[in-house]
Amino acid sequence: MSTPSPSLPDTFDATLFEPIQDRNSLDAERIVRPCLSYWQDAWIRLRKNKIAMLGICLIALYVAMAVIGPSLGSFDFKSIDENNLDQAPSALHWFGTDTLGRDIWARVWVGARVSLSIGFLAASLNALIGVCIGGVAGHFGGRTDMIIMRIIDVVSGIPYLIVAILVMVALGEGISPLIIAMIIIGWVGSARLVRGQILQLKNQEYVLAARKLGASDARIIFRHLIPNTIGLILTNVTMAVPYAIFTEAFLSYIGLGVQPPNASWGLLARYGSQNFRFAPWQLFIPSFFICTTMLSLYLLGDGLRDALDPKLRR
Amino acid sequence: MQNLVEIDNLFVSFKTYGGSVQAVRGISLAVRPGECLAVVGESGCGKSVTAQTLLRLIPSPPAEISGRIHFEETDILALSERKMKGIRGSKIGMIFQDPMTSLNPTMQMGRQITEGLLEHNPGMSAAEARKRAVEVLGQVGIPEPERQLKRYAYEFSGGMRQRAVIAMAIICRPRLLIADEPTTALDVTTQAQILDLIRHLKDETGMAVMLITHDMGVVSNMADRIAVFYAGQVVEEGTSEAVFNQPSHPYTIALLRSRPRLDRNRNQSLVSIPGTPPDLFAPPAGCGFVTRCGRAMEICRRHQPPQFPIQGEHVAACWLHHDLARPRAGEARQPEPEVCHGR
Amino acid sequence: MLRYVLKRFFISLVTILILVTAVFFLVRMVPGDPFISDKLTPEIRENMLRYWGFDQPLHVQYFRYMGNLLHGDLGISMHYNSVPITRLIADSFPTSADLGIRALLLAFFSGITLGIVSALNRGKWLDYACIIIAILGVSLPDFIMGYLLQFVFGLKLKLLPIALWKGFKFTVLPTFALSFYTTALLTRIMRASMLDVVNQDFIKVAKAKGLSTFQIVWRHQIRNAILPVVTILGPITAAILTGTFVIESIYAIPGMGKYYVLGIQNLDYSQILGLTVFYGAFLVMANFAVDIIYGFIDPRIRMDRDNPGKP
Repeated sequence: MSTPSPSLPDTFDATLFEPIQDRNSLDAERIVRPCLSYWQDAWIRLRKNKIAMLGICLIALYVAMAVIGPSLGSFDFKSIDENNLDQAPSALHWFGTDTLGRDIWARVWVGARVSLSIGFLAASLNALIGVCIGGVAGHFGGRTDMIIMRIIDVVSGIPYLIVAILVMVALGEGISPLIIAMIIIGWVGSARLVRGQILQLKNQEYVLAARKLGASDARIIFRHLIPNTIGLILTNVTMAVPYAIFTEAFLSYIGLGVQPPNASWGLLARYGSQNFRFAPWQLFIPSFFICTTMLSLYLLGDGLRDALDPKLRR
Repeated sequence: MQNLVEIDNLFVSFKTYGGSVQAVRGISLAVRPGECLAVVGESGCGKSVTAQTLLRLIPSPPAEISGRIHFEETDILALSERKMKGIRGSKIGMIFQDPMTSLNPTMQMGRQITEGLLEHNPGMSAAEARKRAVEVLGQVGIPEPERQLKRYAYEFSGGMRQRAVIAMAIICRPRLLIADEPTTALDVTTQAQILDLIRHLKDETGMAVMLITHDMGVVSNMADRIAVFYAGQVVEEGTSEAVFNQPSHPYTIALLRSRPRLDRNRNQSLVSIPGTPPDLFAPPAGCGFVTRCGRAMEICRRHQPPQFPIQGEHVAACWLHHDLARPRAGEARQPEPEVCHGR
Repeated sequence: MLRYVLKRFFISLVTILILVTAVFFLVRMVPGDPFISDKLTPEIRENMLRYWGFDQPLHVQYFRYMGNLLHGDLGISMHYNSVPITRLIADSFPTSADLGIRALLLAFFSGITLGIVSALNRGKWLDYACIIIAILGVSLPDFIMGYLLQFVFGLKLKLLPIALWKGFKFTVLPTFALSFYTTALLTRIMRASMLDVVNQDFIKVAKAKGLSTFQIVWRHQIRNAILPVVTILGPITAAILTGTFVIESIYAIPGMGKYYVLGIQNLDYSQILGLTVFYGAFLVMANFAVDIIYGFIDPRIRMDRDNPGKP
């Protein structure tokens, strides 16, 4: 039914019809694409995602500036310059000054230290607690799982910020109460995630196969469950950091959380908002950093999620 | 007898990140009215893509399609999208592999079954449509059809769902039913029932069936004719009898041999075909099966074989049937492939 | 279905109970005596201590507290000269609810619409525009957005009023500021959900049946894509509610949120705790309502909620 391709000659040399002697040469026929491990593939994909890379660079920049920024300017974050109250950004004070005459450039970068570290710390603690609890629930299953799920159900019904506020009110201000407030409910997200992963993987066939072959429980956990879950947890943490930063900013903004003379971006926003009509930079500069940090982390998180998704492997 | 479906020299390729994948490389097929054509091949050989291209379910960028597809005189590839929708579901029905995901989980069964009917028959009333739905559910063997109309997909078992899916596909009395691996996701008993159902429907209504599968066992009872696909091409085609009794392509022979059989000695190992299909990003210049074929010749790696006539309409695309390959001193005409074990 | 509703109701009750108990104990955790304030006359202080029962053994305190709550007595505000909290709520909650509902509706409809539009035009500029809006939206905390809008539309362009709540014009900026984050979130989720659903088999089946594009999108795609959105309606309500705290402060809107923030800043424990109980109970009930709605929309959920996808 099909016509022979026009490129075929009419007659052939009979030697062409000899069986191929050297079968190994056929392997050269096969074009094999280089086989990459899961992590190598993910890293390559992430690198190609320019937006995510931009996010990483920005965060790195901010972290670097948090470390060296205050010393770059000529002013200390606490010292008061009475002659220069509420100054707009200028050559002298790069980000201007606040109502007490303090240099905003220095305060922004000291605040960066606080905000960024609280953000990362809270998100990591949430992930850690969540992994443990979710892991226990998923692995042991049965009644343990049911009890833990009930607890999760109830805990997640309680509004997060309200609990945070309550805890802050009770424990007083400061950084430790802040962190406690953020983790007391925050672990639920990763717990659910990890539990879901474990339940799913438990049922998948290769785990059954490994079990049949005699692998012990611990081996199953380490070799199979963890590598699959780490990617998800990593993405989850990356997305949780901006929310933690936001929570810190929010709580400091309404007066709980970080107190003067310490600085955090949320606190700077709070005092900045009081003068916002005539000195808008005092509010908008810390706000800018809050937003760009959150933005970068979200973009990075998106990129990570895409890079680690096995279905998108190329 | 005029062909119901004629596919001629179809090429389908997809642009992806890694390059261009040539999924279908020059396929020509025909389906006759009322017959069952089995399309057999392993995953990735292009059989599903061909079927979906027949219904123009493949969006055309990013896919590139060339060739000719005719259905009952109509040129499918040249048809407007609107007219194509008129054919889908009404003249040609299609069912897919996984009954669990083929049904909309949030829509009542009755609605899902009748919506195609109502779309193609605008004058029909809801009551008439329901009546027809009940009728067709009965046809596919679902008990108490009236009660099932209000139910949801999750309330049905796998076999029942596949029956419902078949009901959806045939409700408009199509001339052709394309069944893309309809039994792969089912257990063996249900498989047999579903195949029986399809065959029964075909006999009763005279509709043609294009049965796509990778399982030769499924084919033997059902098919009138068989087309064997490999790496995007038809490597053998003929009546069911001819292909089973006189398989003429090394791949077909290997497929037949690899079926697990109850009458074999328990100690004999399962025969499998070593190697993997060629990478369709860069398809080979010669025969696609050359790296796995025990009888490969020099010409096999250089030129793609055309289809050689075996007997009557039975053809096979293999250089072993060229005159020059005919054995010199008394070897059997039919190639005895040495399927390589453990290279 | 009934079993499901009862189960969710029970959990909601337990949640409220835990919240209320937590509030009870937190009062006692405050270092020192929470009711020390210059503004309090001795008699008011007496009343407070009696309300909270500090002079009684612990379990008596607890039961008295619960009894008070069941009678609808949430205590008195310290700062506002012993105005009962319930009065504060009655006065200010309607305004907050008004703001909240407007923001919720705006966010819901714009978010879903943008998500659908974005998914249907995947890869084209419309899609990119929506994605950018969405990503910006989740990165902008609501208090920053609130000030930004005030600054641009109020101060610089002088287009819209930026304080108080006296007519439709006054509602525009606050509603928009409050809803922006949620709009962005819903856009992202709806878009992802639509794209997820479009790859599922039943969409292919719908196409193979010859249905029109409109029918496929409307009846099959959107109906299934909207499920994840409904799931997060609960947390979204919470987000909007907590957003009212700051938006009302920024725009000087006489709603409950403003009182809440003031209470926090004044360390008016009585007010904080009373309002917290109210907010908490309200949100738990809202979550419960969402659960019921979801039960109606997704027939599968009536079977087994902890393991979605398993029949």
